[in-house]
Amino acid sequence: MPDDPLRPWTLEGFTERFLAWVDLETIDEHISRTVDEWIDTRAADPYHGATEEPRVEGLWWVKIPGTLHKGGDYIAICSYWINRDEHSVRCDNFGSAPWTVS
Amino acid sequence: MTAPANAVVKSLTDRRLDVDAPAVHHLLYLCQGHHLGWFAEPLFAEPILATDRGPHVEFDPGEDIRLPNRELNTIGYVLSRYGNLLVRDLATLIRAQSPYQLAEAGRQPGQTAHISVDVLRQHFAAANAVERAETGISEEAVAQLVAGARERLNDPLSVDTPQVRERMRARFADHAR
Repeated sequence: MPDDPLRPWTLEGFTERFLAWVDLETIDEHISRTVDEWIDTRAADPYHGATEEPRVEGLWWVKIPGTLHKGGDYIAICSYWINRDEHSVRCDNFGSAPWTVS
Repeated sequence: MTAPANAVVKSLTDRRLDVDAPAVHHLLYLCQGHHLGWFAEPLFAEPILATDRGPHVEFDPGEDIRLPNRELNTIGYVLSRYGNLLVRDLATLIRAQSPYQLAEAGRQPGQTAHISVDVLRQHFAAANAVERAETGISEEAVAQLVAGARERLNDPLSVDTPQVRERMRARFADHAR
């Protein structure tokens, strides 16, 4: 059967990693909802808005849009592995990062 | 690994069946540029030529080579970022870049000119640095996020099925009450 380039990517571990992050930090409900919706976007295109992490081959990270919190000084970020051959994306970690308007 | 260009073309067209021939050559230029910018080594061995019709790569059909994940990710990124652009938009983008302009400067109509790999690497490395800074996220914050990433690869994780996602939403709903 030919490979279908438009089929959704298989996501792995985003739910568990996200819950672990929420347990560590106090996250507002609207941030949780935004991240939940953002996770779905990775199944459509994990490269969208992503930056490759040059120190770790295969690892990418993203600033999650609409997740400013702690007074607008921090934003949610997420790192994940993309395996294009297997058409799969494995979550590595969630976190909050200080955000500077450039 | 530096692959033959035909392996890159195969990956480009496998994933986007509507890619037509002129677009393939423009996307090859962008794949080569981004790969050089990230890893300082070429994605494919063949030179890129500036021609009357834009960038052009001469490649043989050749044997089928399986590309490593790093190379496949460069192609995936380029398809995600540029794959929906029209050929004329790709051409406008590339013709505005210094590697293409430098090659064009010494080229007569009807002739071809090599696009320098070194100039491509410098251009895309500088562009990457600018884009990286524009994220507004510090290197330290990213380093903190990814610290221990290789070790975490050993953690058993579940596939995010609709059922798993629903359980997560139920948990948040409980918290919100």
